[in-house]
Amino acid sequence: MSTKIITWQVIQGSDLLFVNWGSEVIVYNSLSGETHQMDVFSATVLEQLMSNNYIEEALLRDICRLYSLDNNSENQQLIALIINNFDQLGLIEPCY
Amino acid sequence: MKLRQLGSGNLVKQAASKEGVCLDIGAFCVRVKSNEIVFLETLAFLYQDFPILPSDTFADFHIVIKRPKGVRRYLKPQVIFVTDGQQPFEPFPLSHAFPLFEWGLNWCIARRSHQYLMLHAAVVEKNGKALILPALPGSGKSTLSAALAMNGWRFLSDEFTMIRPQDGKILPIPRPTPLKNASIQVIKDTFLNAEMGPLFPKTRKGTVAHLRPPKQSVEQLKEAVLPELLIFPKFQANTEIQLNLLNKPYVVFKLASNAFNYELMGRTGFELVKNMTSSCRCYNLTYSRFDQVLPLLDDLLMQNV
Repeated sequence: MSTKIITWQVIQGSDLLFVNWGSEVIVYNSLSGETHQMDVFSATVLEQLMSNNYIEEALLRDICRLYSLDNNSENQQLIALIINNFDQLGLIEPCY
Repeated sequence: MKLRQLGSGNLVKQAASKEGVCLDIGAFCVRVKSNEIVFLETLAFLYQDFPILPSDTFADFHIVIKRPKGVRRYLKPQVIFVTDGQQPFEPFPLSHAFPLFEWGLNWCIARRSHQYLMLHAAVVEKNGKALILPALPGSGKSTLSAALAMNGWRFLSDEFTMIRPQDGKILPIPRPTPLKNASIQVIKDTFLNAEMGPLFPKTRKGTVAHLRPPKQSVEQLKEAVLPELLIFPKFQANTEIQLNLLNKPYVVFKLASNAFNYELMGRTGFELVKNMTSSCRCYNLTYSRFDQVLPLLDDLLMQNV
């Protein structure tokens, strides 16, 4: 049995506005009309997803490069958690 | 012409006419029709300094205060609120016609004025700087804004902070402030020059009396102002005054949930809330005494940091 690899993208048609207030970022999704609060790291992941469609592994690689982080299981779990949160919040969707 | 200059006889005649009376309340024009004398007397007292406009003026809201048909015209008489031919509320006792008018007008503004971002907040101004007091019912915002209005601040609104998208300025609607229960006596005792309308006991909010807005505030009802301070007040008896600086993201969420139409306004609503939060100093305030809170708010406004 193989695990399906999902490519993620920011939800089509959404226009995300970012406001950075130090350690916290507010993101407004003009498509849903919802406002979200997140830390700077999560906001960077979202901005990365705005620039490209990503599978989780490639996203981890690019984020680790950007932040000079180790590409290890701990960071892999963190990216997986952030992706799951973004999916739940309707900020991203699978790209088919 | 001001409402008081119309005279009671002419007011009764004009309010009963097809055109009614067009009141300029600042951000809006309200056309009022009624032949209920007691209601009109209260209107004439509490809105005495407001301008009346020519009858062919475009009115934002058309309101009729009248008795219902049938037996309740005469037996334990009631009164209904009609706007644009609709009756959105159950009848009130005739004696509560004025609170019905005020609550009905609030309802009209909240439902239809989506050209502005509307916060559920009182707002006052001094030295060209607005202090916004967003709060839940029961937090003491009406009492505090009334006290500020009686203490040298310009009163813009007790209920709505109307923000104009074009420039982020706040438009005044300096209507009478509905004080409730213990607040009525507190304001009367503290400010001997406070002028109030009649007491309305046993309303859904308890006993209500309306504070007449200061004449100077009504004269400036076309002067919009930029916000400077955002303070979330909470009255808590027998506590020391406390002022806590708030972080900006928290304020964005507080304002988004406080606004009547944040989501409806979409990106414009977000931009207005963001800009206001960025430019204002934002605090939580817990207070119990006017002699502490009034000087503190004066000082805070002057600090300009």
